[in-house]
Amino acid sequence: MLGATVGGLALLLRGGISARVEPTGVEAAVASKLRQVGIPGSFRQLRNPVPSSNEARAAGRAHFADHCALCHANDGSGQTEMGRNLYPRTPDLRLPQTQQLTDGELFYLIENGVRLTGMPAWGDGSEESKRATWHLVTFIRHLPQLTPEEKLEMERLNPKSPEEWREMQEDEEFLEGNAPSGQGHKEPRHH
Amino acid sequence: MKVASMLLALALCSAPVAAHEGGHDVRGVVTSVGPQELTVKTSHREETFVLTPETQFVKDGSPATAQDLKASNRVVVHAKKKVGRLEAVKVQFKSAEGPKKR
Repeated sequence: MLGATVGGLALLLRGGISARVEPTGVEAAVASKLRQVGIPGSFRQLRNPVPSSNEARAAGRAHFADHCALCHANDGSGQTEMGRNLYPRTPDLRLPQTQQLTDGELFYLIENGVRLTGMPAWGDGSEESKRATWHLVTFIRHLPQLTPEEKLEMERLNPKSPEEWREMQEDEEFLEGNAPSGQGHKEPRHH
Repeated sequence: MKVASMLLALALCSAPVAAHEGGHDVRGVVTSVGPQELTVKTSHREETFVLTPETQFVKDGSPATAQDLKASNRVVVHAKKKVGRLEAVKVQFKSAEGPKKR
């Protein structure tokens, strides 16, 4: 009882429900343990049924760029405005903390999400969804070897607002020399 | 009590993080480029960007390096404000002899 009270008081003193503060080591350790025990053993032992191939990596890469990169970044580093400011912070998928998870654990986390984090449940139980998730597992395994060419291709696939599309078009026209060099200043914007 | 003090100390050691990170994008012409700095003349003024190992150079849509960039090249620079300076995140440009679309 005393422990719970002290723990609650400590949380309030460090910013209440604010996501600005860094998770403490204790929180991170407890969350990691809970995630570990929360994944059913039957999933933990699953192996990726999709053979690793250029096609599987390409499918996973395109899916990741479209659905995951907003938080995880194209290179899996988690270094996006969203990823840096979630609570807990988005993990760097290239590091052992993620790479040492089994295929089945990665599959389960993508399909079912993780409560009280920014990770949603992407799966809908269909075979199509499962196949797409296994492609993502294949691509996540490849992240530590991602090439600059692949990263650029992903940037082209990242979701964009109509304003961003317009800006890209204007950038292209400027670089092609189709806009006067003196009219190329862009207004500062958040990104 | 000792545990409570440790928990409190741990809780108070956290630092806030920045949000709505300031981005700064320009289109302009390169006036000088070195290993650590890129200066671009825009319609408003000359702006200098710090080049870091993370700066991404893209020439004709493919990965490139700072050495591929020359004075008088048209560039689009995506930068971030960091500790009172502008760090180039991505620098896009085209071959000087590249075909024009129109």
